[in-house]
Amino acid sequence: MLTGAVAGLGALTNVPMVVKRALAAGIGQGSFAGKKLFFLFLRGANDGLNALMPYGDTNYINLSTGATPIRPNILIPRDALTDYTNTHDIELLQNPAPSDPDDPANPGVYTGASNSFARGLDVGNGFSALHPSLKFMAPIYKAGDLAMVHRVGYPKQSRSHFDSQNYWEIGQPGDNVDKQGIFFRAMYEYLLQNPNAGLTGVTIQSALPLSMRGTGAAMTNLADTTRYDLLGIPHNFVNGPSGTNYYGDIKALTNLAQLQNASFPTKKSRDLLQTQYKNVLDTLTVFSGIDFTEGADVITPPHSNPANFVGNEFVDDVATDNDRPYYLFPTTNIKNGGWRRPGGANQFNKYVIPTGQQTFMKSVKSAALILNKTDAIIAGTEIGGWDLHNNEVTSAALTTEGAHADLLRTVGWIYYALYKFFKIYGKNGSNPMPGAKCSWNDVVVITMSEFGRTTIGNSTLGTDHAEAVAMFVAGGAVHGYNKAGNTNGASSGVYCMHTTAANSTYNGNNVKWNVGSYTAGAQTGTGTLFDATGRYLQRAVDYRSVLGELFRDHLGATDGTGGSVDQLGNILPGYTVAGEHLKTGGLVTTPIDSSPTTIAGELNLV
Amino acid sequence: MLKPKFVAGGLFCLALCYHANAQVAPGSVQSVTVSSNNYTITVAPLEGADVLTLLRATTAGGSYSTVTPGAGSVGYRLIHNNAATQGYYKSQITTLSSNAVLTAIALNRLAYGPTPDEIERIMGAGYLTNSSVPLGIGPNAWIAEQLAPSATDPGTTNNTNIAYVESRFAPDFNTVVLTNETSGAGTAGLAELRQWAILRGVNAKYQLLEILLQFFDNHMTTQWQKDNDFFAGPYNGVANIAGRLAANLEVQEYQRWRTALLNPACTFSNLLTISAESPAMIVYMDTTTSRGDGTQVPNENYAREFRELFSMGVDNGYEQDDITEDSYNWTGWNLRFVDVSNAFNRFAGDAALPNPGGISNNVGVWVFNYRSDHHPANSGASITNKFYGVRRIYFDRDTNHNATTPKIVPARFGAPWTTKTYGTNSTPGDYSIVITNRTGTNGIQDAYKMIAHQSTLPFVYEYTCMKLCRTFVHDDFALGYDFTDPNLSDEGKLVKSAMLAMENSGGKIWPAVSNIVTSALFRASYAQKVKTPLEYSISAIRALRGSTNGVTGPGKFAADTDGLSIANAGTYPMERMGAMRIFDRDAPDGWPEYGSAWISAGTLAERIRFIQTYLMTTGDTNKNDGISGGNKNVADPVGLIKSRLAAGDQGNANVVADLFLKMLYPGEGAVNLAQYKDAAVRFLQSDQFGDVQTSTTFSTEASNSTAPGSEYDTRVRGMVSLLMTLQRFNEQ
Repeated sequence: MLTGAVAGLGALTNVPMVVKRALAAGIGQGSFAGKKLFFLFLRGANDGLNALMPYGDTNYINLSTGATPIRPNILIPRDALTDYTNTHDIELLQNPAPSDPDDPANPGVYTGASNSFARGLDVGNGFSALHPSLKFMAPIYKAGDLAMVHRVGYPKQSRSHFDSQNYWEIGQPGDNVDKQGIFFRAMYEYLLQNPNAGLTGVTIQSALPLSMRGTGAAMTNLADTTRYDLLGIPHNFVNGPSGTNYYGDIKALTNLAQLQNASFPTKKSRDLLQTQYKNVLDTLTVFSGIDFTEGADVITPPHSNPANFVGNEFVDDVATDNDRPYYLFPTTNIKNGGWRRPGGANQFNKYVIPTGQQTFMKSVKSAALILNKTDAIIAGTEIGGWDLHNNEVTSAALTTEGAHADLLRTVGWIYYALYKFFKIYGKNGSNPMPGAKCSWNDVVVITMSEFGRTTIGNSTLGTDHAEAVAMFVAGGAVHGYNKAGNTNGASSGVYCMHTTAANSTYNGNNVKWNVGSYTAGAQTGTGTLFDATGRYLQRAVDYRSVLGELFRDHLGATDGTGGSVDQLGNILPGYTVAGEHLKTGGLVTTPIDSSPTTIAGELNLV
Repeated sequence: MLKPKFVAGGLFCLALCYHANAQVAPGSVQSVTVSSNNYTITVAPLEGADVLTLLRATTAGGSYSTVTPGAGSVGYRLIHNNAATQGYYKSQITTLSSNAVLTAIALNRLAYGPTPDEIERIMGAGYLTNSSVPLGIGPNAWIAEQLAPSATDPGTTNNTNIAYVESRFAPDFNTVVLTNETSGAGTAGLAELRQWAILRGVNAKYQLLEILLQFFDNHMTTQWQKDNDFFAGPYNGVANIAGRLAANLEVQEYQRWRTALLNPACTFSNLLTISAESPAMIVYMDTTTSRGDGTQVPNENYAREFRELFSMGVDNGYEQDDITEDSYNWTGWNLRFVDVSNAFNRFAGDAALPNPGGISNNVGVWVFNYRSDHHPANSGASITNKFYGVRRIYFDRDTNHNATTPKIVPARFGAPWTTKTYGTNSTPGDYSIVITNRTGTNGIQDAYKMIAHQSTLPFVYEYTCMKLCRTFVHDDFALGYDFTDPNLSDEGKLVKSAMLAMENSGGKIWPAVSNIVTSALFRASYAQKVKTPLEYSISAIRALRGSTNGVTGPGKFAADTDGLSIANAGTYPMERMGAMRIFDRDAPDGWPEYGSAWISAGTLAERIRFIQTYLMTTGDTNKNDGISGGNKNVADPVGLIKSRLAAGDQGNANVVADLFLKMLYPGEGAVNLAQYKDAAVRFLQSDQFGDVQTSTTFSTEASNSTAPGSEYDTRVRGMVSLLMTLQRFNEQ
């Protein structure tokens, strides 16, 4: 919240120039100016096999053979009436059109459940299905703006959460020494961002993640954007000389700023503290100009005039889920989907995210606002709770509900919310915010997660640590379903998840999905589901290939071609190692990997 | 008394030379610039620098004489005005005594920060006012005191708030108390548990014990929320009970560790066993529902973290197949509701659960219990399936995941670990173990056999000692040193010596801790670490928690907290400073020890706000700052002034600034703190508008009024707040 300390600072003449503004323009290079990245880290390891299901693999579903499926207790059921082997458009699993005027207070508005579907959502590539809780990803996929990449991992995959998260976040598998985050390196060391900018990348979460950490410069993490301000003693002291309002915080902040140049002996922690204190003082002004407040908690907000935006008034521009337009950032019950009916009653099954995630959605909103209102290139946040050894689903009889479904529901809605936020309120949007700087075409949204989970379900309605995972990549420039420029098999938006070589060959490398065999109780099997040590889903694409392509083709990192600096190779050192095959794919052999594995290389996602 | 140490500046710098960014030895002249015969001399900062003297000679090799720095000189930046000729400058620095620095290190690492009284007790002279308590025991005696804690801690037993919270804990193995009462045994929830930990951290005399308890609670972490979710099923609809039962599981675990650590002979095996048997752990790692009977596939959660996080360290001596096979050993370890008479019977069956709607039932107790029907059912030797039969752990494997040859302790450990034998193995260094599946109630022994074996492994000693070093010395210790390397780093040597202390004592904890905190590396580690939110918030209270009535122990202190205002179950500072939810961490790796995990713009802003609201008077409308239940973190810095300074000095801004700088930063030295002091004096001499010229003087305000809310009081609070919101207060 904007308060006196920050507002008053500019009026003081004896304050050192510690408060800088983000650069007004010129970020990125050439056509990459203004491009941005939003990341969502799913900490704890997402069960990719239950998020993007291989219904075409008979071992997974075992409908045709009648044998015990590999996940008898947590299997997401398929719809007996849907032919998942048929190649067609994605199924838009929305509520039906409002043919049933069951809301007497608002005839014509459909009040059916938003999240009670009990079957996988056919994505139309003849093999795969989305978890029903991801149904709000469907419109993005249908628009061609979503790429779903399965079997993502890295060589010698660690099954330790903490090592594997580190490897993802520093961009270097197996490296336990380097402490420079991948986004930090991209922004600071290799100058995708002007190093003098006050703001380069922002996370909104409890602590600065490793991906944003580094030495010599600080990237910004905020926990609660509405509290990002300093106080004084006393705070808000009014009635100063000449009728001016003064604040104790000005005196406190002035002294704090002046002491930033104090000389002390070198210690291990002092550079870190120095850079982060500077970061505080640099960014107070930047964030004070953004309205992070919540605004009124009304069912239908006044969102027609962008000049009058107050707080969280961002709503859909269509009847969401064939109901009324929903708030994009469901931070309260009333703003959460269609829970509060126009007549005043409540309908619990019309929440679009679990109520327990409403506070988290404030972080998502803040990150979206920062991308749209500042020159920050990277913004992100994290969502935990994915380490579901136990109770991933409610019960063997109700597998589409429970902890994993709740988390996926949140992720699915976040994608939809960002899609619509930038399409409507972004630069060149249909109802742009004043000063909007980011369009849907400028931003790419990605998920990251340290590994996937065991192919075989365990005895506790859950799964354990395994290898490859799924990534979701969205944005106006993404090569999704039927998008111009899409070179994926059958112009599908599903990558590395087809059973024919014709649809699974990238850069000349065939990474098709092989259907093998499995015997219940053995803990091992054959085929793609068991390719990693006979037990786990093995990678077909390296996460660094996905990120590397985005760094180069979306954010503008140079790669050494044409005599340019090899920024990409510095951001992702694996790109400089021929045997890694990160760009053009190939067979990764020992000692880089523990057993020979063919990977796709880059997928031409943007 | 401080014992001065004299350090002569090592660099002689001609007045007209300019060493921009010159890399010179700490304490030496770094640069000299001149403007119209006015020279500005900069000296490179030196640890503990307390007095800096500038010397000048007019010729090389000539005699040096002292220069009195001119106006504008502060700290390491000295101005020599109107020097008629060129000259040579050098510096002389008197540092704090090594005891003063060690005191600061010890109070920051082995305690939750210095208190004014503890600084006096270690470094003061004479006797405590109005008592026969001698002062100046010295840091080594204080450390020795901390290494031998007593179960009777005067700092906590005299605190009525701690006693009240402890009265709300249910005694171990006690019956379930289904109650909605607000006091009495069994009524403590997460908020009280956190409050208790904070209050003990603030008050305990045996601070190191409290630090070690947090260390092991963090090392083998569990989560209140997971327990709460577990109990929400059977007690659905009964207000408070799930949360209270969950809190009691955490308390029981914590108190068993306390009992263990109060024994000088406490071993890592003792602590690991307490953790493994803890219902909180059995729930947290999903062991309670894991099954290996029939064709059931156990979950691997505990078998993995038992190694990766709780004993060996990631990829340190084990592989995935060890996890998979060991996961069967733990099947059957269960949390169960049994009849009170069966509280110590691991094999008792279920008691009838209380009626979920009932409040007055008192029919049983939740305890660690073993369910043989969840364990593989066959006698291991008779069947070939490796999971159900003979489980081989710490073996090399073939491509079918079958064990081949036993693993040998890597050569990097060296003797004695590579030359001794483990368990019943005959080959030196062979640390494999074979566990043949037992059936019936004997099945519980499979996991106990694993614990016993695990606790002897060098990987476990290495990981434990390495983490203790990170906690007590600095962050830059790692796994994987080659302990046989003749050029082993100081860090590696310290880990090895602590490991040997464990090895030679049969795995005891205290010898390893003692080895680390009496090491040369520890003594050289001033300010090398950053406080966690827990350490930061408790240390802030302690920093101003000096007695104002001349006695220690119960009395009147200049700072206090109710604990809840720091760590409650709602909106509170530790949540805001990085979501440090003690007793409720969701990830099993425990709270990070390294500073970069805690320090960012948002968390620093919250640290600053915490200090600012703590220093506000209770009447300030902003003091609450959204803290649930109100902000009971209170400070009376003027009380400290009145109890420690003569009346004539209470209006002297220099003296007042010095008083607080020495309390807050006892190991830094006056030269290093000179810029802080300069700002503090200006702060005291200026009103809220910050203008020294137009403000009444500090001494005038002192004579006007020193009452709470007076201008004097406000300036002192603001000045102390400024000093505590600077970088240095984040260090430990």
